[in-house]
Amino acid sequence: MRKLFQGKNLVIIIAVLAAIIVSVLFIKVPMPTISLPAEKIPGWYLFGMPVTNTFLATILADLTVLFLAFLAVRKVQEVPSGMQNLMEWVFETFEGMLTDIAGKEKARRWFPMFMTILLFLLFANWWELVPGFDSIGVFEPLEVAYVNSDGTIRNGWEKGTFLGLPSIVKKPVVLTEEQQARAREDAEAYEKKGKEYHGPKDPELASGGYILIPFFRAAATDLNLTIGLALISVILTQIIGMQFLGAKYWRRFFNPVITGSKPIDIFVGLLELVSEFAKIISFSFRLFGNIFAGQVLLFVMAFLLALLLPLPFFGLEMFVGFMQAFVFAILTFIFFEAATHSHAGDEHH
Amino acid sequence: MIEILGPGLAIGLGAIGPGIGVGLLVMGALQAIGRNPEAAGEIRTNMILGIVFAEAIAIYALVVALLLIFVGAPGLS
Amino acid sequence: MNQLGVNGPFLLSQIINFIILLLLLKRFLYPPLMNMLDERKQRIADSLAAAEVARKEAEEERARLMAQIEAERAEAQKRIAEASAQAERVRADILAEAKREAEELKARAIQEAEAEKQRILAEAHKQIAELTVLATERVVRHGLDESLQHQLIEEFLSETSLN
Repeated sequence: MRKLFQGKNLVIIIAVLAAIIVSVLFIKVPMPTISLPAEKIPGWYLFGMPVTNTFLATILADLTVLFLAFLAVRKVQEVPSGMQNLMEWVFETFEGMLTDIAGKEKARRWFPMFMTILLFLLFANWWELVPGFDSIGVFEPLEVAYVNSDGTIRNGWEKGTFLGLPSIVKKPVVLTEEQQARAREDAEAYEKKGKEYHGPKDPELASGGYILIPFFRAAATDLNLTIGLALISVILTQIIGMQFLGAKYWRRFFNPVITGSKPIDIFVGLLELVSEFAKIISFSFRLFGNIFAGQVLLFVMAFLLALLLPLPFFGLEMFVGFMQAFVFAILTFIFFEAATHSHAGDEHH
Repeated sequence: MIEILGPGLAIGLGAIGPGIGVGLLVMGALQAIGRNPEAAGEIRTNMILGIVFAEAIAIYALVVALLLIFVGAPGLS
Repeated sequence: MNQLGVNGPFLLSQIINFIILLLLLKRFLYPPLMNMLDERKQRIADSLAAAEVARKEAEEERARLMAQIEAERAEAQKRIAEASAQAERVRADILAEAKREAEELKARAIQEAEAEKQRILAEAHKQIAELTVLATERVVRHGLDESLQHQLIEEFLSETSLN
């Protein structure tokens, strides 16, 4: 027991205590306003479309993957080194795994799909853990982002500074009932005219508070990305089923022969059909839910105690980020594989 | 009050089943690995897949909770 | 769906984004590395096969050399055995010869010694007889005749048994 408070240990304990005291007394992280849709970065447009921070993060993940790919194939050598070595190791490992599942030919055929999903989602998820990713952005008056077209209103924060940097560290601003009502009216007026609502003109409301719109936000916390990927995966599954089984593929939904009893078979076919749609939902919301919940978890931990406390959760999120990318990719592969087998009863393997 | 309670109950109750399911899955997988350590890799892969399917149920609960928070229940303002 | 942030253009842009990424990687990343992996696998298999062949050849060569060495060793063994047998024979011959010569020498020496002895004995016999005659003559001086004298001498000689 005495040894615990000597030498290195003592230094560590003091440092931990100091970090806790400092974070309790001086670093007050605001509880961020959590929004389900991706925030649009004000003033940024691409082909007439507003740019969202998750879209920027998607591009960032793309660039990361492409950069690593460039490093890997820049100079392909017989004796690999650096990134080529790493990539080859990754490819070999996962190709072996796919071969175990589906055999050599199919593994080789669908490997690009598997690996692209894995790499893309892996870096999309891991970027979230980079400091500054979720915390550098622009301050916008509350209304722009938070009075939606249906009049929903959320509270913002006052502008302040932290260590000389602009920040929103003060207590939240609460709009009065009257102000909220006025904002709602404003929004309705805009909706009637068919325009997108960008906040009230009323200066009193415009100074109601600020929120931070980060430039980047984990790409998978945008349902557009996850639903898009899920759609690609499920649609490709159907295409692959058609390729391998032809028109017979559709029999599993509409005219399966499994038990021989007609009503039951029709019911089974219906279940199959529903499960195809359920796949889209479970694919997209699994990824979205995990990453979104992870993001909120990190926010809350930083809010509770800015230093040290979020650390283990960063480790957890790293694991979750990899796991979700892997699960998305391997499930896609397994569904591809399953689509090539007719279990409608006309082929007995 | 119900606006706060609803999503909380949705995810809280919805996580019970998957929690038990994941526990059972890991229990089975660990026992299998204990009996047959050579097959650890394959068992682990299948365990993860099973966990993912069990977890999907919790995800549905999460979706409902999120819908309740951000979209709101019809009939409640 | 709007409150969840799902809308058409964003969805489409994400899908297109992923497809572009997929095509890019499919075009530029996977083929070179997978080919490299295949090539390397093939090369390793080839060189393993070649190594196996070389090993077999070496094995055969070694067996052949071993057999040769064995044969030579047997030959040498035989030669050594022959040589030592011959040496043994020669030694036996020499020994026998030497023995025979030694025997001969010994026999001749014995013979000569015997002859010498006989000669010396005869000489002594004669001289003793003469000395005895002389001595007796001096003692008895004509007392005895010649024939009696000889008789006495003979008796004396047989009694003294100088033989």
